Amino acid sequence: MNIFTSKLVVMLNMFVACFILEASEYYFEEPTSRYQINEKGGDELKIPLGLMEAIENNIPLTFCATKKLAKKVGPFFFPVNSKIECSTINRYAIGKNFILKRDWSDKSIAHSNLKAIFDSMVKLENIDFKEISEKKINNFYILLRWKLDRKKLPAPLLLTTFFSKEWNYNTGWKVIKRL
Amino acid sequence: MKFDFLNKKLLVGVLFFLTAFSLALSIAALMESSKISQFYDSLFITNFICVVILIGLIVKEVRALVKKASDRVPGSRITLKIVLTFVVLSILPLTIIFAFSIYFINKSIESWFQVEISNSLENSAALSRESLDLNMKKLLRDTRAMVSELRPDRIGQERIDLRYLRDPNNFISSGKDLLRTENLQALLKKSDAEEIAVLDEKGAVIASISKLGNLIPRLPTESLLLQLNNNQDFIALEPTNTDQLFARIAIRFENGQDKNILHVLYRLPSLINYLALTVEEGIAKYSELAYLRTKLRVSFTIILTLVLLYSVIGSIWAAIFLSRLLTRPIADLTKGTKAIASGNYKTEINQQSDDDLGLLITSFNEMTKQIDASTKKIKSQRDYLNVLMKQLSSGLISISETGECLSANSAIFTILGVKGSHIVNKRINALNIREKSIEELFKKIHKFISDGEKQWQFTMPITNEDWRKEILCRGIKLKAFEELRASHLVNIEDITVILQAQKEAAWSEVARRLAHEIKNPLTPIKLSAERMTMKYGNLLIEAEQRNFSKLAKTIIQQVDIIKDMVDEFSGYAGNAVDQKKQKLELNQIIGNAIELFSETRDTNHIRYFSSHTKKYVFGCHTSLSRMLNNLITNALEACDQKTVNIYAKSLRLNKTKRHIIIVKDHGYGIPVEMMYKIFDPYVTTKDHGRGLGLPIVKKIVEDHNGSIKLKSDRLKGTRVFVILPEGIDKRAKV
Repeated sequence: MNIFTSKLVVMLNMFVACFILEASEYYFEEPTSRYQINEKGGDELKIPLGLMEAIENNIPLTFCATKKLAKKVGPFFFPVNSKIECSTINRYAIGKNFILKRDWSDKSIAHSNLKAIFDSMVKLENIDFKEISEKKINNFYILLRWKLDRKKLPAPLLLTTFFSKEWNYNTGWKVIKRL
Repeated sequence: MKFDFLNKKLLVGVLFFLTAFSLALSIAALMESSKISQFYDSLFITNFICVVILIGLIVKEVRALVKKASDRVPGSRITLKIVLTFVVLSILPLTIIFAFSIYFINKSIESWFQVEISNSLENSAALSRESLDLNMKKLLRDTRAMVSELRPDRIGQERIDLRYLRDPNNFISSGKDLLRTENLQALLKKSDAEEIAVLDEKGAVIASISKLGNLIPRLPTESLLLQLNNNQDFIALEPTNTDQLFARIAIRFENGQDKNILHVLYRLPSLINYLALTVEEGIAKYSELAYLRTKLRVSFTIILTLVLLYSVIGSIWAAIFLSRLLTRPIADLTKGTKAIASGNYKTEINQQSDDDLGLLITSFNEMTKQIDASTKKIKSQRDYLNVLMKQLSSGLISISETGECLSANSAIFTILGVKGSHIVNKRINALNIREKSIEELFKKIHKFISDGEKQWQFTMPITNEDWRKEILCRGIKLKAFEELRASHLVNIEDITVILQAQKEAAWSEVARRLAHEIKNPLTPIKLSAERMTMKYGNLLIEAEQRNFSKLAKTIIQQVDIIKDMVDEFSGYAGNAVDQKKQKLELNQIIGNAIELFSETRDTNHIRYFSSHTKKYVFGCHTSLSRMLNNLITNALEACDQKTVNIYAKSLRLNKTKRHIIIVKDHGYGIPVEMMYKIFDPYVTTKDHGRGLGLPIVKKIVEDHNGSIKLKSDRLKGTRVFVILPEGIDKRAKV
């Protein structure tokens, strides 16, 4: 095997390793905070200013919620079921308001206040956990993570914000409740 | 890393295609293509990796090229020069194009955002908003009119549980419902509303009806309720996922003691909807572009940089590929000339084209063939000359002007009895040879050379412990080979045998003539003396008679002596031996010869050692007997009654069977100064010898195709070796 081929193999291995690490991050990550379902429900998202500014400038942003049903063994969470649902927020210029569209519903929510739109998006009452938690088993948790879907960004933003922490927005895994 | 060129070309080709495809997709994604744009970063990474790999391959290739050039590999330098020329020629225009492209793209992007356009869009948005406001106000009025048409049946109501709304029967047929669904249906039919819902003040649905097919009405948000609770009507324009604009209107109304909310959704007219959406789309696009202006410039710059790199890499690869194609014949020619310079004249270059270089290669191949043929001819001639030189019995030496021996043939070493290393590449006037006579020979040669003689010749004897040779030395000054440093050619010949042969021939002739001339009168003299004795002896007085008889006897005795001497001369002349030859057994001849000495000598002094094997020779019985007689006589006389040993052996020399007779005495030996001429006639160590015995022996041996050798040790005795060929092989030589 020559040096060039070996370099290619090393690069490939690095890619595979990165993929595995990305795929298994939640196995080793203790949730940073715990949600409790209360009357208000949910948590305030600390959306970076850059994202807010982009929405104000008519850049539609899509946030995806990854919901996982996971079993906890020791410090590790082992997912048994998961579902991803996405919501898009964009600005309606003529109406001077912001619209929240969910990909699982044809109903949209409009509000003149961007914060209200985000609150509406993350409100736990609006998130359906039934699909992933039909089997209620002891010691199982529901994990939730909100993440900006970079693939839906306009192409120029994709490249220029590739290494930007702001534009790789991610709430991290959080425990919603213990079943 | 071992990549052959084909694999490398394949890899580079694939990488180029991948990069080009990826770049095209990247540009498409950047311009406008929502399906591709989501892969824009992946495409960019792919582009980047491909370009980096290509750059790596280029660097490797260029480094290999530079190394080859520094190692002076044929064709590498010109390849490097062509590559550099190509690169310079391609980079300059590409850089200019790149700079102008960046400039124009930046200018173009900036030109998109003009104040006039921005103002126009804002104005169109305001206009749309005003128009929609008018529509909305009308719809608000319609909604208010609806409130008056709502007819409550009784005071008090119960909240409809949303969970029951899935069942239409539960929804409108409940007896507890305050509002008759007939009213809502009538309102829905009468108005342009798409959905009508009556809510309590907390937003819970009391009743609803919809043309949209929704059982659950599109409920307002909490903020809407807050706004209504502040006694403000709610009017909002909301787009849906299906690009349909809806007007959401909610107003509070008094329902007895309760405060309810009438929530109505209106679908905007299609024309207004289309126009509003178009304006919205334009504003959104413009706003997005304005926001992405800088990022767009950066993206285009990066993409253009990648395109530039791609083009430069492409041109470098093309340069390397083309330069290799161009310089391959030159490299082949260089290799070919180097091969010829190193002596490989069989070099042939493949002609790959019919252009000028192809013709040059054809000429080169023809030239190579001619050189090869000439070289073969020269080699053949040289080999022939070498064979001749080796076959030559005379020695040849080439000597430089400075007196250095440049070369010598093998015969010279045989003649002089020295090794090649003693003479070749040495100055001939300063040789270090044990035999001083040979040193003298070369000094004499050097003197002729240094004197500038053009042609010279001399003879001189050379000696060592075992032999003495007469040498004829001839030299000639060369002109044609001056450039090869050889200025003199010296021929050295061993003329000992020739001189000996000439001497022997002369002696033979003298002996023959002497025998012939003297022998003829001897018989009449002897007969006359005898007749004189018989006829006149008795006539004389007694005293004179005795004297007369004595004189006659003396004459007869002297005639006999002369006759014996003539016979010996005749034997030395060796007449007609061949005609008397026959197959003889050597043991028998030697035995007979020893027997002859029994009458005069004590044969106990002669001891014969031989195997019982028959040893046949082809020869003359008389001559061989005479030879043995002479040898034994000499041996007995030399050792003075001591023992003489005779050995007879058979052996194979050069696949030919030969017989050796060794006659060994235990005498005083032969002085060294006599050894070289012991076989010459009239050379003897005895007081009364005639010196013809050994010359006759030698003559007989040579007449029988044999050889004779003599070895003598002072005070120990002499050994004579006679070697005769087996059987009837007359031509065999020893």
